[in-house]
Amino acid sequence: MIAPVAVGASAHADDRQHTQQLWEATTVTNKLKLSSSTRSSKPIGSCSIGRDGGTCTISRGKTADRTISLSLGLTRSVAASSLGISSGKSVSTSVSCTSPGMKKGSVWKAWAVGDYWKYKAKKVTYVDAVLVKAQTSPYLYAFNPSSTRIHCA
Amino acid sequence: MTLSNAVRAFTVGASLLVLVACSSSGSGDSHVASELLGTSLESARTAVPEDAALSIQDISLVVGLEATYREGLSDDTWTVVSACSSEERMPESDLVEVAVVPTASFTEAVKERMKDGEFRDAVTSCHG
Repeated sequence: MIAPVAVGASAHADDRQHTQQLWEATTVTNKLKLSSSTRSSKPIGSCSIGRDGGTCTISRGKTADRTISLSLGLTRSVAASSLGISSGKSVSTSVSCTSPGMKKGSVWKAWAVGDYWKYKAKKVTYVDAVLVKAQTSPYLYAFNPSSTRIHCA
Repeated sequence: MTLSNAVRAFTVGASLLVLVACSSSGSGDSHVASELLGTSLESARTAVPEDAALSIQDISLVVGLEATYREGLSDDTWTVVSACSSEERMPESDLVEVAVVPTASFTEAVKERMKDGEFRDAVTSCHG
């Protein structure tokens, strides 16, 4: 995405006024899908078994967060578009899982599963069509949970 | 308006607001998790908000049966004997948990045990 930004006028020796055109753009570079079966860091559901020999079914989990790291002015929509994922902040899962019979107090948890990306943000700055600065961020990470896959344990 | 009048007017206004808030919450005994007790799991599902997480505990062992509940089996053959929600009212909750037994074993005796609160602690996940 290119965004022109007009900067203040500066006087030149010939006394004619010249308005510099500043152009900045931040894009995604060095993108790599690290995994397509990464587990969310936080469970989307958990259940503490209430009776010995009982089971727990996590029928619907809480929504899973879609995380997209940003830097150098990179926007969420540009990053998401570049990674080919939605920019929405969360995903609702549509699958369930049932524990085996467990002892009272045992905890059954469900995690979202999805794609894990790493990438960098690259920002270029042009003044009057001349590249004056190029910056690259450290690696950034994105997690795109699937609506149809969960991991339970 | 003097300062003391302004303070008095503010106090009266604030009191009215508190009265309104209390009366609306006082009548809010509907849509609480305890209303699910004795209903079928099928009915319970319709009462749980679409965006809330739902956990189902099969505690068939309390009626001498093995736990066999699986998602996708007919929910109308299971009866809720314990329920909780993360907030006082289900519509504001992001988690609802129910414990169920097979409807065929939900006898009057089991119903009495439920009313006596014997299964109350079967659901434990609603408050962290």
